[in-house]
Amino acid sequence: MRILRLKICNFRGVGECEVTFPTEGVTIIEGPNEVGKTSLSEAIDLLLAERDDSTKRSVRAVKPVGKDVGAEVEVEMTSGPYRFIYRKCWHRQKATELQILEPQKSQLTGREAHDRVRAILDETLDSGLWEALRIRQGTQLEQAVLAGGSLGRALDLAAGGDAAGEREDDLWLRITAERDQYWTATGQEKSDRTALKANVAGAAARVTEVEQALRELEGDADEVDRLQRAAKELFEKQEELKGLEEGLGAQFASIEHQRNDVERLKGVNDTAQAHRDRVQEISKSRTDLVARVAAAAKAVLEHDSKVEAAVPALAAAEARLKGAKDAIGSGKEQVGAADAADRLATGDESYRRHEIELAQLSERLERVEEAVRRRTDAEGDLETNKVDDELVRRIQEAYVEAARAEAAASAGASNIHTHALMDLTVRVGGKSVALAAGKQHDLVVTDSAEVEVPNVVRVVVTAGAEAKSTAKRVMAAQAEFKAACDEAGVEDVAGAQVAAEARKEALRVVALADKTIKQDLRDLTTDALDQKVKSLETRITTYETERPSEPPLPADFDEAKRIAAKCDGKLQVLREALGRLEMDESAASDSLQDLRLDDAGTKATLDQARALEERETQALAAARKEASDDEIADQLTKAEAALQQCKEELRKAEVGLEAEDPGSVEVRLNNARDVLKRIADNLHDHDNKVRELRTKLAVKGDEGLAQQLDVAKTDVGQLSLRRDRIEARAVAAKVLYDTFAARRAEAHRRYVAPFRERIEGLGRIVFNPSLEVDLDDELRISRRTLDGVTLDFADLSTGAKEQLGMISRLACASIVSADGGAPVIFDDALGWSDPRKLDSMGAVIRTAGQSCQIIILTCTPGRYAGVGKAEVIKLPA
Amino acid sequence: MTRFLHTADWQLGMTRHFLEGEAQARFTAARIEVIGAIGQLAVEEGCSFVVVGGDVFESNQVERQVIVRALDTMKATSSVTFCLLPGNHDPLDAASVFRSKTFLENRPPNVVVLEDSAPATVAPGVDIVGAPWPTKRPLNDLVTLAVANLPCDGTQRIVVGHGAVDTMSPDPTNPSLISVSDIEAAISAGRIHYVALGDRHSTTDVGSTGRLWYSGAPEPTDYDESDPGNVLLVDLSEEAISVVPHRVATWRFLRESFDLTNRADCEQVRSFLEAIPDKHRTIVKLSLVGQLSLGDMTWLEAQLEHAADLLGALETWERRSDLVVLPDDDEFDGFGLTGFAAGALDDLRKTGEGSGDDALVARDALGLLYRLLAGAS
Repeated sequence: MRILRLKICNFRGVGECEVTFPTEGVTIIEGPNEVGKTSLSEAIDLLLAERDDSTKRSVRAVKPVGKDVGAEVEVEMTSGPYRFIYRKCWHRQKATELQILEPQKSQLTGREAHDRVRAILDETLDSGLWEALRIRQGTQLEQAVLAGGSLGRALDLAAGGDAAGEREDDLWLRITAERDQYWTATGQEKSDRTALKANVAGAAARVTEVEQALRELEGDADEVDRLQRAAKELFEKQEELKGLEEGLGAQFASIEHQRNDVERLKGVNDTAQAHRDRVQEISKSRTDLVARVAAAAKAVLEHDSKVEAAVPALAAAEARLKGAKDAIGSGKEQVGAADAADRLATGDESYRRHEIELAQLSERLERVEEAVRRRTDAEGDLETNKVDDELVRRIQEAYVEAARAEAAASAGASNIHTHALMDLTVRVGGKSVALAAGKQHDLVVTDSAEVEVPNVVRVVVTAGAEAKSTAKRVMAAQAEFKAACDEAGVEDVAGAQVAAEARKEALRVVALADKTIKQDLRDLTTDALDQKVKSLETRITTYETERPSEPPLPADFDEAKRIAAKCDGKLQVLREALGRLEMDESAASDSLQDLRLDDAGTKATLDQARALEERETQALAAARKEASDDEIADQLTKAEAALQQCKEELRKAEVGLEAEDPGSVEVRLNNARDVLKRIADNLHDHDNKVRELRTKLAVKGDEGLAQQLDVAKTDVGQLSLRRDRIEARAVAAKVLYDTFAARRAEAHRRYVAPFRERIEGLGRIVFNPSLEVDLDDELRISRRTLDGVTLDFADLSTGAKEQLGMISRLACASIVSADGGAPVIFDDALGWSDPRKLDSMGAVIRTAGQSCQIIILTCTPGRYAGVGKAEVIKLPA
Repeated sequence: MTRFLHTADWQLGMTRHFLEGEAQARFTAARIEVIGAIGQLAVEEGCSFVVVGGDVFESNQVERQVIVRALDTMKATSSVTFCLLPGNHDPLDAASVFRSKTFLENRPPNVVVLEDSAPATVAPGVDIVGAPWPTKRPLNDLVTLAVANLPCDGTQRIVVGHGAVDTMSPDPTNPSLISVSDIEAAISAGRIHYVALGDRHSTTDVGSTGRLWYSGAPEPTDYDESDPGNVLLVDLSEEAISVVPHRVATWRFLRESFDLTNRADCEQVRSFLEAIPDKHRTIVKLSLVGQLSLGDMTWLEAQLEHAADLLGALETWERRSDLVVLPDDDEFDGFGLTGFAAGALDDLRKTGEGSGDDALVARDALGLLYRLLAGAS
């Protein structure tokens, strides 16, 4: 499509404007906005789309303001083989006029003209492309949708293939729709297919279910049949067995009879046996009795001879016992004498030992007593003398203090030295003091003192204050000294020292005595020691008194000890000898005792044997009186014979019974009866089961299961058929879709290459030779690579997006141009591009303009100054 | 002379999976109606009784409605006695339909069930001896057993039996096969005079006596029956026998094969279907083999669809591999596909020319494509 000429009148604010365009190359229409350069592109849209009587808003909007005239648009254009002039008036003088110039001239008006143009455009113009190649003011940032349509076909051609056309695109939509009937977007089968499959499965399950019910029912019918046949067989068997049972019953009765016979004969036989046994018993006891009599006689003889034989042995044993007893008597005497001698010797030994012990103990006792005495004395001293070293020290210190005080006092005090010039008595301090002539009495005045010569003079001297204090000290020290001395019981320091020495000596004596006492007492007390001494003295005295005079006492303890040991040895020897004799005696006694007991036993046995002989002899005689031996023998013979006869009869009867095989007959009879009972039970069971099954069958039979099965099978068949058809269609749709999709994608890939090359060729003018772009399946630029940096289209700057958007349109337009194409119309685009880019875009536009029609509308003339070669039309202001 | 009708294999309660909806209902109704027709024929021909040689019912487990309608139809011609024999489909076992409450309560006096082989006198000097099936799987030749002890005493005996005869059975080990020689021996001995058999749905004169017949089913039940749809009118006298088939069926089963390669062949199918009389009571099964173009196939499918609407049922063998549908070289050319569409079409054609599932699916896909294109233009 090419626009050759455009004229608008009374269109919005534009009074009249006519522009002629070259078929190739760039046309720039400059004019201020209000002049309506945008109205030019709007006018083409209205002309092509809206009928002259349209009241749409878009039509109303272009009505000139304040003028009572209609808007008018006229355009001369080519599209495909057509060239025509098309004019429309709206609002007033509504008119549509079409003048077709090529390929065949014709003229149309009104609705007809409108429809014709639409038909021409539908036939020859790719409306998508027409839209895509225009950039309206303010909307330029979007990438155009270029895929499919003319570009696709052009690219397809450019790639060397047949171009796919609208028919193919339409077909593709149908194929997609067909596929979407059966498959979801994610390639899953759609729910109605799944549901149909479920229905098939459900119907199949129903078939199985009904078949099962039918099988059960048929099974039941068969079972009834089987049971009835079995019952018939059982009935026949029952009849057969009844006959058998009867025969066996008769046989069994006869056997019972014979069995009674045998039982009776057993009784007879038992009686005969008992009789024979009794007679046999009598015969045996007679024989025994005779034998016992003989044995008793023999025993009497034997025992008699034994008694005789025992006499000499007894006599010998008695003599031996007597001898033994005599020996014991003499042995005992010897032991008695030795024992007395031994006792004396032992007593002597003790006596001599006691003497020694007494001497020792007495000495110890004396030492103890002496020590006790000394200790008592010393302790008495200690009781009175308390002067220890401490006390001595105190006395010494007090003495020194007193002396010091006195010295101090005499140094500071007043002294009264009274010199008796004659013998006289003076009173000093209230006391009378006799003074021989020439003698002097000294008095230290500590406080005040008076010396009075009675009736003569009284001299009072009063001490000064210091003297008084000194005197007090002296008195205190003296009092202290005196108190200490009093406590010690001494006069002075020397006395105290002597007393202290004495005390120490007494303490030594006590310690020594204690040591002695302890040594001699050892574990004893004094009393115990004393007691021991006294006891020993008593024993010694008593022994001396009581001991016979002969033999004489041994000389000393050692001798006594030797004699005692000797006596003791002798006694022991004698005692042992006596022991042996006593054992001999005991043995002899025992032996004699045994012999005596034996003898007594033998004699008693003899007596018994004699008594027995007598008893048995009497018994035999009595028995023979009742029945002689011969008689008894005869009875026995008869009983034996009778018994043998009975036994023979019994045996015959038993053999007869055995021949009838009574055990087996009975077992068979019982068995036959059991079987009959079992058969009767079985028959009863069968009967019950059959009745039960018949009831069940009667209920089930009316349900029409066979027909239900047929219906269910029909359902399965028909549903399966439908499913198979739908599945086949689904698969076919998918295969068709997949095959077409693959080819379509492949075609896209193929013609993407030239398109991309064209974009890159134009783009490198604006950017730089390193520019590369990636296109997606919809032929949109998805990424741009510049200087090795790749960015997603969305991440590019607004300016770069705008430039690339324009470049892709130009590339598209130049590719499709040969096939007709459509003009590229830019309405003041490139508002985002800087001057340098504008220049290079100008070069791009010029380059593209060589192979297509480009119309640029602008109110900013400088923006497109960089387009090297362009027809510039300035609209009047 | 004794005159009666011999029929068998009514198979009441039978359903056919290829019959949809109303066709099944009409088919079922026809099977009941034919009983009325038989009764009517008996009246017209002066028969006092009809013997039914087994398989009166399709199964012992039929719906109540089937039983009561059948009995009610027989009741309409009350002067005619219907002697029903239990066959292998409806044996006299514990589940027998003949002993069901529904049957017993609704049985009119002119319906008799041959429950055993005791001779039943239907006319002076004429006895009916039945050989009913006691179970689904009897272990001996029931007919031979039934006639074994019959005397030759001048009584005319009509034996009613069911099952395959040994001369025609494919399974010689079946213990219940009816021995033709035994039967013919009994016929020659004059102990029995006519044997009315059921089981075989085609009218058949068995053996050489002319007295041993399968009547065939009065309404057809399947494609493989060679001469169904008749009842036999039997005239029996001491000296002679006459057996005449009377057609009573209203339905037909047809089976036909076609080898298809071009439009002319398809046209033959169309005219075959066109020529069928009584289409709504005809069940057709077509076996189509060969190779057709998409266009021909589309045309044929339209014809078949049309015929299916007219016929009682139209079955086509659904083995797709038997009828290969391949586009002609020029078939898609008319659409003038270009670009990727042309490429994809080529791909599908190539795959479709092969064999196996992929080829089958590809051909389906081509068919679909053809429809989409044809629908668009």
